Amino acid sequence: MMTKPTLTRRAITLGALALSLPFALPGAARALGQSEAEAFVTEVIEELRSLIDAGDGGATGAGRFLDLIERRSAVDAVARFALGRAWRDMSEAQQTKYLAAFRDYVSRTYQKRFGEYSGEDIAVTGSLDAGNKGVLVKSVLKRSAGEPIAVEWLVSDRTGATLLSDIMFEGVSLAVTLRETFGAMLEKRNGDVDAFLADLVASDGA
Amino acid sequence: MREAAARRSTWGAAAAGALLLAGCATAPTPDGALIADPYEATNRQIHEFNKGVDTALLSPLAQGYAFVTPATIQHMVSNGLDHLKLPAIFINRLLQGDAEEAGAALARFSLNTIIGAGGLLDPAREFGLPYTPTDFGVTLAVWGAEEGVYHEAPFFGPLTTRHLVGRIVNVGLDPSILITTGAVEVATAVELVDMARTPVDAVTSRAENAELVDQILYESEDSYVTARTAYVQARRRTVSGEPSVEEAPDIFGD
Repeated sequence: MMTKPTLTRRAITLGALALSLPFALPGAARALGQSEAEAFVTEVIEELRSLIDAGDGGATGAGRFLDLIERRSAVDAVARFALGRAWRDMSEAQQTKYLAAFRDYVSRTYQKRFGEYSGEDIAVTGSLDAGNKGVLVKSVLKRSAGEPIAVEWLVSDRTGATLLSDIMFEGVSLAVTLRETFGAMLEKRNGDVDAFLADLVASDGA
Repeated sequence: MREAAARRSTWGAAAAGALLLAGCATAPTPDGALIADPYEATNRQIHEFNKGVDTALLSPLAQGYAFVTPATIQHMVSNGLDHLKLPAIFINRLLQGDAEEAGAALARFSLNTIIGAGGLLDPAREFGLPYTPTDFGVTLAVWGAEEGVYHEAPFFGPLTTRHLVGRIVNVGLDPSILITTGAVEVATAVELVDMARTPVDAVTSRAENAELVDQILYESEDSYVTARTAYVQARRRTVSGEPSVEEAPDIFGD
Protein backbone atom coordinates (compact mmCIF):
# COMPACT_ATOMS: atom_id res chain seq x y z
CA MET A 1 0.00 0.00 0.00
CA MET A 2 2.80 2.32 0.97
CA THR A 3 5.07 1.59 -1.97
CA LYS A 4 2.48 1.97 -4.66
CA PRO A 5 2.30 5.77 -4.78
CA THR A 6 6.09 5.93 -4.71
CA LEU A 7 6.33 3.61 -7.67
CA THR A 8 3.72 5.58 -9.52
CA ARG A 9 5.59 8.79 -8.84
CA ARG A 10 8.81 7.23 -10.03
CA ALA A 11 7.11 5.92 -13.12
CA ILE A 12 5.79 9.37 -13.87
CA THR A 13 9.23 10.89 -13.35
CA LEU A 14 10.85 8.29 -15.58
CA GLY A 15 8.16 8.74 -18.17
CA ALA A 16 8.65 12.49 -18.17
CA LEU A 17 12.39 12.01 -18.42
CA ALA A 18 12.01 9.58 -21.30
CA LEU A 19 9.69 11.98 -23.07
CA SER A 20 12.10 14.86 -22.69
CA LEU A 21 15.14 12.88 -23.80
CA PRO A 22 14.58 12.84 -27.55
CA PHE A 23 14.23 16.62 -27.43
CA ALA A 24 16.94 17.29 -24.87
CA LEU A 25 19.73 15.23 -26.37
CA PRO A 26 20.00 16.73 -29.85
CA GLY A 27 19.67 20.16 -28.23
CA ALA A 28 22.57 19.44 -25.91
CA ALA A 29 24.65 18.08 -28.74
CA ARG A 30 23.96 21.19 -30.85
CA ALA A 31 24.73 23.67 -28.05
CA LEU A 32 27.30 26.21 -29.04
CA GLY A 33 30.68 25.68 -27.40
CA GLN A 34 32.63 28.58 -25.91
CA SER A 35 35.74 28.01 -28.02
CA GLU A 36 33.57 27.73 -31.11
CA ALA A 37 31.94 31.08 -30.25
CA GLU A 38 35.33 32.71 -29.62
CA ALA A 39 36.61 31.49 -33.00
CA PHE A 40 33.45 32.84 -34.63
CA VAL A 41 33.96 36.28 -33.07
CA THR A 42 37.62 36.34 -34.11
CA GLU A 43 36.45 35.73 -37.69
CA VAL A 44 33.84 38.49 -37.46
CA ILE A 45 36.45 40.90 -36.05
CA GLU A 46 38.77 40.09 -38.97
CA GLU A 47 35.98 40.79 -41.44
CA LEU A 48 35.08 44.02 -39.69
CA ARG A 49 38.68 45.09 -39.67
CA SER A 50 39.19 44.57 -43.38
CA LEU A 51 35.96 46.45 -44.02
CA ILE A 52 36.86 49.37 -41.75
CA ASP A 53 40.45 49.57 -42.96
CA ALA A 54 39.20 49.79 -46.55
CA GLY A 55 37.89 53.14 -45.30
CA ASP A 56 34.94 53.19 -47.69
CA GLY A 57 32.37 55.35 -45.94
CA GLY A 58 30.26 55.55 -49.11
CA ALA A 59 27.58 53.39 -50.68
CA THR A 60 29.91 50.47 -51.53
CA GLY A 61 31.10 50.35 -47.93
CA ALA A 62 27.52 50.44 -46.69
CA GLY A 63 26.66 47.57 -49.04
CA ARG A 64 29.53 45.45 -47.76
CA PHE A 65 28.55 46.28 -44.19
CA LEU A 66 24.95 45.26 -44.84
CA ASP A 67 26.20 42.01 -46.36
CA LEU A 68 28.25 41.35 -43.21
CA ILE A 69 25.20 41.97 -41.00
CA GLU A 70 23.11 39.64 -43.16
CA ARG A 71 25.61 36.77 -43.02
CA ARG A 72 26.92 37.11 -39.48
CA SER A 73 24.04 38.35 -37.31
CA ALA A 74 20.56 37.20 -36.36
CA VAL A 75 19.29 40.46 -37.84
CA ASP A 76 15.59 39.53 -37.97
CA ALA A 77 15.57 38.43 -34.33
CA VAL A 78 17.37 41.62 -33.26
CA ALA A 79 14.91 43.70 -35.28
CA ARG A 80 11.96 42.02 -33.54
CA PHE A 81 13.64 42.46 -30.13
CA ALA A 82 14.23 46.15 -30.86
CA LEU A 83 10.50 46.72 -31.40
CA GLY A 84 9.38 44.75 -28.38
CA ARG A 85 5.63 44.43 -28.08
CA ALA A 86 4.92 46.71 -31.04
CA TRP A 87 6.13 44.00 -33.44
CA ARG A 88 3.11 41.80 -32.75
CA ASP A 89 0.67 44.64 -33.36
CA MET A 90 2.07 45.30 -36.83
CA SER A 91 0.46 44.09 -40.04
CA GLU A 92 2.48 41.74 -42.23
CA ALA A 93 3.15 44.54 -44.71
CA GLN A 94 4.40 46.79 -41.91
CA GLN A 95 6.66 44.04 -40.59
CA THR A 96 8.21 43.52 -44.02
CA LYS A 97 8.77 47.22 -44.42
CA TYR A 98 10.25 47.44 -40.93
CA LEU A 99 12.71 44.57 -41.46
CA ALA A 100 14.04 46.28 -44.59
CA ALA A 101 14.22 49.71 -42.93
CA PHE A 102 15.92 48.19 -39.88
CA ARG A 103 18.72 46.69 -42.01
CA ASP A 104 19.26 49.99 -43.71
CA TYR A 105 19.24 51.98 -40.47
CA VAL A 106 21.61 49.63 -38.67
CA SER A 107 24.11 49.40 -41.50
CA ARG A 108 24.20 53.18 -41.93
CA THR A 109 24.49 53.81 -38.19
CA TYR A 110 27.13 51.25 -37.36
CA GLN A 111 29.21 51.72 -40.48
CA LYS A 112 29.78 55.23 -39.13
CA ARG A 113 30.39 54.05 -35.54
CA PHE A 114 32.83 51.28 -36.37
CA GLY A 115 34.67 53.58 -38.75
CA GLU A 116 35.87 55.54 -35.72
CA TYR A 117 37.79 52.52 -34.47
CA SER A 118 39.84 52.25 -37.65
CA GLY A 119 43.40 51.10 -36.91
CA GLU A 120 42.68 50.29 -33.24
CA ASP A 121 43.75 46.97 -31.79
CA ILE A 122 41.05 44.52 -30.62
CA ALA A 123 41.54 41.00 -29.28
CA VAL A 124 39.29 38.27 -27.85
CA THR A 125 40.14 37.65 -24.19
CA GLY A 126 37.71 34.93 -23.09
CA SER A 127 34.02 34.05 -22.84
CA LEU A 128 31.11 33.31 -20.53
CA ASP A 129 28.45 30.64 -21.00
CA ALA A 130 25.21 32.62 -21.16
CA GLY A 131 22.89 29.59 -21.15
CA ASN A 132 19.79 30.18 -23.27
CA LYS A 133 21.22 33.45 -24.54
CA GLY A 134 24.25 31.68 -26.01
CA VAL A 135 27.88 32.59 -25.33
CA LEU A 136 29.16 36.02 -24.30
CA VAL A 137 32.59 36.48 -25.89
CA LYS A 138 34.80 39.08 -24.20
CA SER A 139 37.28 41.29 -26.02
CA VAL A 140 39.34 44.40 -25.33
CA LEU A 141 39.69 47.32 -27.70
CA LYS A 142 42.92 49.20 -27.08
CA ARG A 143 42.77 52.82 -28.11
CA SER A 144 45.74 54.96 -29.03
CA ALA A 145 44.36 57.54 -26.57
CA GLY A 146 42.32 56.85 -23.45
CA GLU A 147 41.43 53.78 -21.44
CA PRO A 148 40.84 50.47 -23.26
CA ILE A 149 37.21 49.63 -24.03
CA ALA A 150 35.61 46.32 -23.02
CA VAL A 151 33.58 44.89 -25.92
CA GLU A 152 31.38 41.80 -25.56
CA TRP A 153 29.83 39.81 -28.38
CA LEU A 154 26.72 37.73 -27.76
CA VAL A 155 26.77 34.69 -30.01
CA SER A 156 23.89 32.25 -30.36
CA ASP A 157 22.92 29.29 -32.52
CA ARG A 158 19.22 29.54 -31.75
CA THR A 159 18.39 30.13 -35.41
CA GLY A 160 20.24 26.92 -36.36
CA ALA A 161 23.33 28.80 -37.50
CA THR A 162 26.02 30.44 -35.34
CA LEU A 163 25.18 34.14 -35.43
CA LEU A 164 25.83 37.36 -33.56
CA SER A 165 22.85 38.64 -31.59
CA ASP A 166 24.35 41.63 -29.80
CA ILE A 167 27.50 43.70 -29.24
CA MET A 168 28.12 45.54 -25.95
CA PHE A 169 30.57 48.43 -25.53
CA GLU A 170 31.42 49.00 -21.85
CA GLY A 171 28.11 47.43 -20.98
CA VAL A 172 26.10 49.43 -23.53
CA SER A 173 24.21 46.96 -25.69
CA LEU A 174 23.39 47.80 -29.31
CA ALA A 175 20.16 45.78 -29.16
CA VAL A 176 18.96 47.42 -25.92
CA THR A 177 19.92 50.86 -27.24
CA LEU A 178 17.93 50.27 -30.43
CA ARG A 179 14.97 49.02 -28.39
CA GLU A 180 15.00 52.14 -26.18
CA THR A 181 15.44 54.43 -29.20
CA PHE A 182 12.60 52.84 -31.18
CA GLY A 183 10.38 52.67 -28.11
CA ALA A 184 10.81 56.42 -27.57
CA MET A 185 10.24 57.14 -31.28
CA LEU A 186 6.98 55.18 -31.24
CA GLU A 187 5.85 56.85 -28.03
CA LYS A 188 6.55 60.29 -29.44
CA ARG A 189 4.39 59.43 -32.47
CA ASN A 190 1.61 58.13 -30.19
CA GLY A 191 2.21 54.58 -31.37
CA ASP A 192 1.63 55.45 -35.03
CA VAL A 193 3.61 52.64 -36.71
CA ASP A 194 3.39 54.15 -40.21
CA ALA A 195 4.76 57.50 -39.03
CA PHE A 196 7.55 55.64 -37.20
CA LEU A 197 8.40 53.60 -40.30
CA ALA A 198 8.46 56.68 -42.52
CA ASP A 199 10.85 58.44 -40.14
CA LEU A 200 13.02 55.36 -39.75
CA VAL A 201 13.43 55.17 -43.53
CA ALA A 202 14.17 58.91 -43.75
CA SER A 203 16.58 58.95 -40.79
CA ASP A 204 20.26 59.08 -41.66
CA GLY A 205 21.18 56.89 -38.69
CA ALA A 206 21.63 57.82 -35.06
CA MET B 1 37.29 65.70 20.73
CA ARG B 2 33.76 67.02 20.78
CA GLU B 3 34.25 68.45 17.34
CA ALA B 4 35.43 65.09 16.01
CA ALA B 5 32.44 63.36 17.57
CA ALA B 6 30.10 65.92 16.07
CA ARG B 7 31.68 65.41 12.68
CA ARG B 8 31.28 61.67 13.00
CA SER B 9 27.62 61.93 13.85
CA THR B 10 27.11 64.29 10.91
CA TRP B 11 28.64 61.65 8.69
CA GLY B 12 26.45 58.99 10.23
CA ALA B 13 23.37 61.10 9.57
CA ALA B 14 24.48 61.82 6.02
CA ALA B 15 25.04 58.14 5.31
CA ALA B 16 21.71 57.18 6.85
CA GLY B 17 19.97 59.93 4.88
CA ALA B 18 21.68 58.77 1.73
CA LEU B 19 20.49 55.22 2.19
CA LEU B 20 17.00 56.39 3.04
CA LEU B 21 16.83 58.62 -0.02
CA ALA B 22 18.19 55.89 -2.22
CA GLY B 23 15.58 53.56 -0.79
CA CYS B 24 12.68 55.98 -1.22
CA ALA B 25 13.19 56.90 -4.83
CA THR B 26 12.24 53.53 -6.22
CA ALA B 27 9.44 53.60 -8.71
CA PRO B 28 8.38 50.53 -10.66
CA THR B 29 10.22 50.29 -13.97
CA PRO B 30 7.64 50.17 -16.76
CA ASP B 31 7.40 46.84 -18.57
CA GLY B 32 10.32 46.37 -20.95
CA ALA B 33 11.87 49.77 -20.12
CA LEU B 34 15.44 50.15 -18.92
CA ILE B 35 14.71 52.38 -15.92
CA ALA B 36 11.80 54.26 -14.33
CA ASP B 37 11.78 57.94 -15.29
CA PRO B 38 9.02 59.59 -13.22
CA TYR B 39 10.60 63.07 -13.54
CA GLU B 40 10.94 62.92 -17.32
CA ALA B 41 9.36 66.34 -17.97
CA THR B 42 11.74 68.14 -15.58
CA ASN B 43 14.65 65.97 -16.64
CA ARG B 44 14.08 66.93 -20.27
CA GLN B 45 14.20 70.65 -19.38
CA ILE B 46 17.47 70.15 -17.49
CA HIS B 47 18.76 68.11 -20.43
CA GLU B 48 18.12 71.06 -22.76
CA PHE B 49 19.96 73.32 -20.32
CA ASN B 50 22.92 70.92 -20.13
CA LYS B 51 22.95 70.65 -23.90
CA GLY B 52 23.08 74.44 -24.08
CA VAL B 53 26.03 74.51 -21.67
CA ASP B 54 27.78 71.96 -23.84
CA THR B 55 27.14 73.88 -27.07
CA ALA B 56 28.15 77.26 -25.67
CA LEU B 57 30.95 76.33 -23.29
CA LEU B 58 32.09 72.76 -22.80
CA SER B 59 32.38 71.64 -26.41
CA PRO B 60 34.28 74.78 -27.60
CA LEU B 61 36.61 74.59 -24.57
CA ALA B 62 37.28 70.92 -25.20
CA GLN B 63 37.95 71.55 -28.89
CA GLY B 64 40.31 74.38 -28.01
CA TYR B 65 42.07 72.25 -25.42
CA ALA B 66 42.48 69.33 -27.83
CA PHE B 67 43.71 71.69 -30.55
CA VAL B 68 46.36 73.62 -28.63
CA THR B 69 47.59 70.91 -26.22
CA PRO B 70 50.20 68.44 -27.46
CA ALA B 71 49.04 64.81 -27.17
CA THR B 72 51.74 64.00 -24.60
CA ILE B 73 50.63 66.82 -22.34
CA GLN B 74 46.96 65.79 -22.72
CA HIS B 75 47.98 62.33 -21.65
CA MET B 76 49.78 63.68 -18.59
CA VAL B 77 46.85 65.92 -17.60
CA SER B 78 44.45 63.01 -17.75
CA ASN B 79 46.91 60.80 -15.80
CA GLY B 80 47.26 63.53 -13.18
CA LEU B 81 43.48 63.95 -12.81
CA ASP B 82 43.00 60.18 -12.42
CA HIS B 83 45.85 60.10 -9.93
CA LEU B 84 44.20 62.69 -7.68
CA LYS B 85 41.05 60.52 -7.50
CA LEU B 86 42.96 57.56 -6.05
CA PRO B 87 42.71 58.57 -2.36
CA ALA B 88 38.89 58.67 -2.60
CA ILE B 89 38.97 55.42 -4.60
CA PHE B 90 41.09 53.83 -1.86
CA ILE B 91 38.60 54.90 0.83
CA ASN B 92 35.66 53.59 -1.20
CA ARG B 93 37.37 50.23 -1.79
CA LEU B 94 37.81 49.92 1.97
CA LEU B 95 34.15 50.84 2.53
CA GLN B 96 33.23 48.20 -0.05
CA GLY B 97 35.23 45.68 1.97
CA ASP B 98 37.49 45.03 -1.01
CA ALA B 99 40.96 44.88 0.59
CA GLU B 100 42.59 43.65 -2.60
CA GLU B 101 41.38 46.55 -4.75
CA ALA B 102 42.11 49.00 -1.90
CA GLY B 103 45.66 47.69 -1.81
CA ALA B 104 45.93 48.02 -5.58
CA ALA B 105 44.76 51.67 -5.43
CA LEU B 106 47.28 52.42 -2.67
CA ALA B 107 50.10 50.68 -4.53
CA ARG B 108 49.21 52.49 -7.73
CA PHE B 109 49.14 55.83 -5.93
CA SER B 110 52.53 55.27 -4.24
CA LEU B 111 54.20 53.96 -7.38
CA ASN B 112 53.02 56.71 -9.70
CA THR B 113 53.74 59.42 -7.13
CA ILE B 114 57.33 58.27 -6.66
CA ILE B 115 58.44 56.98 -10.07
CA GLY B 116 55.65 58.45 -12.21
CA ALA B 117 56.54 62.13 -11.83
CA GLY B 118 53.95 62.72 -9.13
CA GLY B 119 51.21 60.98 -11.10
CA LEU B 120 51.72 62.59 -14.52
CA LEU B 121 53.10 59.32 -15.87
CA ASP B 122 51.60 55.87 -15.42
CA PRO B 123 54.31 53.25 -14.85
CA ALA B 124 51.90 51.41 -12.49
CA ARG B 125 49.97 50.12 -15.49
CA GLU B 126 53.08 48.22 -16.65
CA PHE B 127 53.22 46.67 -13.18
CA GLY B 128 49.71 45.28 -13.60
CA LEU B 129 48.01 48.04 -11.60
CA PRO B 130 45.64 49.68 -14.10
CA TYR B 131 43.30 52.55 -13.19
CA THR B 132 40.03 51.01 -11.97
CA PRO B 133 37.77 53.82 -10.79
CA THR B 134 34.99 53.47 -8.25
CA ASP B 135 32.92 55.93 -6.21
CA PHE B 136 30.52 56.15 -3.29
CA GLY B 137 27.59 55.31 -5.58
CA VAL B 138 29.18 51.90 -6.14
CA THR B 139 29.80 51.61 -2.39
CA LEU B 140 26.08 52.24 -1.78
CA ALA B 141 25.28 49.48 -4.28
CA VAL B 142 27.65 47.10 -2.46
CA TRP B 143 25.85 47.99 0.78
CA GLY B 144 22.56 47.00 -0.84
CA ALA B 145 21.00 50.38 -1.71
CA GLU B 146 18.53 50.31 -4.61
CA GLU B 147 19.47 51.97 -7.90
CA GLY B 148 16.48 54.31 -7.72
CA VAL B 149 15.13 56.21 -10.71
CA TYR B 150 16.54 58.36 -13.49
CA HIS B 151 17.53 62.01 -12.99
CA GLU B 152 19.33 64.56 -15.06
CA ALA B 153 21.13 67.13 -12.89
CA PRO B 154 22.27 70.57 -14.08
CA PHE B 155 25.97 70.43 -15.15
CA PHE B 156 26.36 66.85 -13.89
CA GLY B 157 24.08 65.23 -16.47
CA PRO B 158 22.46 61.79 -16.19
CA LEU B 159 22.37 60.10 -12.75
CA THR B 160 20.46 57.34 -11.02
CA THR B 161 19.22 58.25 -7.53
CA ARG B 162 21.93 56.09 -5.99
CA HIS B 163 24.63 57.66 -8.15
CA LEU B 164 23.33 61.16 -7.31
CA VAL B 165 23.60 60.51 -3.56
CA GLY B 166 26.98 58.88 -4.15
CA ARG B 167 28.31 61.92 -5.98
CA ILE B 168 27.37 64.23 -3.13
CA VAL B 169 28.91 62.00 -0.44
CA ASN B 170 31.98 61.33 -2.60
CA VAL B 171 32.93 65.01 -2.39
CA GLY B 172 33.30 64.54 1.37
CA LEU B 173 35.29 61.33 0.94
CA ASP B 174 37.87 63.06 -1.24
CA PRO B 175 40.78 64.28 0.92
CA SER B 176 40.67 67.46 -1.18
CA ILE B 177 37.78 68.53 1.10
CA LEU B 178 40.45 69.26 3.73
CA ILE B 179 41.96 71.85 1.41
CA THR B 180 38.61 73.28 0.32
CA THR B 181 37.38 73.71 3.90
CA GLY B 182 40.71 75.16 5.04
CA ALA B 183 41.36 72.32 7.47
CA VAL B 184 44.76 71.86 5.89
CA GLU B 185 46.98 74.81 4.97
CA VAL B 186 48.58 74.44 1.56
CA ALA B 187 50.35 76.71 -0.88
CA THR B 188 48.09 78.88 -3.04
CA ALA B 189 49.27 77.01 -6.14
CA VAL B 190 48.11 73.69 -4.70
CA GLU B 191 44.81 75.26 -3.73
CA LEU B 192 44.31 76.57 -7.26
CA VAL B 193 45.09 73.16 -8.79
CA ASP B 194 42.62 71.61 -6.37
CA MET B 195 39.90 74.12 -7.25
CA ALA B 196 40.46 73.67 -10.98
CA ARG B 197 40.24 69.87 -10.85
CA THR B 198 36.53 69.45 -11.46
CA PRO B 199 36.12 71.91 -14.36
CA VAL B 200 39.37 70.72 -15.98
CA ASP B 201 38.17 67.14 -15.64
CA ALA B 202 34.93 68.07 -17.41
CA VAL B 203 36.82 69.67 -20.32
CA THR B 204 39.37 66.87 -20.74
CA SER B 205 36.71 64.12 -20.55
CA ARG B 206 34.65 65.98 -23.12
CA ALA B 207 37.75 66.16 -25.36
CA GLU B 208 38.59 62.47 -24.88
CA ASN B 209 35.05 61.36 -25.75
CA ALA B 210 34.36 64.05 -28.33
CA GLU B 211 32.85 61.81 -31.03
CA LEU B 212 30.71 59.80 -28.65
CA VAL B 213 29.28 62.87 -26.90
CA ASP B 214 28.68 64.62 -30.23
CA GLN B 215 26.78 61.59 -31.49
CA ILE B 216 24.65 61.33 -28.37
CA LEU B 217 23.85 65.04 -28.09
CA TYR B 218 23.72 66.26 -31.68
CA GLU B 219 23.29 63.33 -34.07
CA SER B 220 20.67 61.17 -32.39
CA GLU B 221 16.94 61.22 -33.01
CA ASP B 222 16.19 62.04 -29.35
CA SER B 223 19.31 63.02 -27.41
CA TYR B 224 17.54 62.79 -24.06
CA VAL B 225 16.61 59.14 -24.60
CA THR B 226 19.98 58.30 -26.16
CA ALA B 227 21.86 59.82 -23.21
CA ARG B 228 19.60 58.02 -20.71
CA THR B 229 20.00 54.66 -22.46
CA ALA B 230 23.78 54.90 -22.77
CA TYR B 231 24.32 56.24 -19.26
CA VAL B 232 22.13 53.71 -17.44
CA GLN B 233 23.76 50.73 -19.15
CA ALA B 234 27.32 52.03 -18.73
CA ARG B 235 26.68 52.90 -15.09
CA ARG B 236 25.33 49.42 -14.38
CA ARG B 237 28.56 48.02 -15.81
CA THR B 238 30.62 50.33 -13.58
CA VAL B 239 28.67 49.07 -10.58
CA SER B 240 28.95 45.38 -11.49
CA GLY B 241 32.61 45.86 -12.47
CA GLU B 242 32.64 43.10 -15.04
CA PRO B 243 30.49 41.68 -17.83
CA SER B 244 27.75 39.41 -16.59
CA VAL B 245 25.45 37.00 -18.32
CA GLU B 246 22.41 38.60 -16.63
CA GLU B 247 22.95 41.97 -18.27
CA ALA B 248 23.11 40.46 -21.76
CA PRO B 249 19.75 40.92 -23.51
CA ASP B 250 17.58 37.90 -24.28
CA ILE B 251 17.18 38.55 -28.01
CA PHE B 252 15.11 35.42 -28.61
CA GLY B 253 13.15 35.83 -25.37
CA ASP B 254 9.88 37.33 -26.55
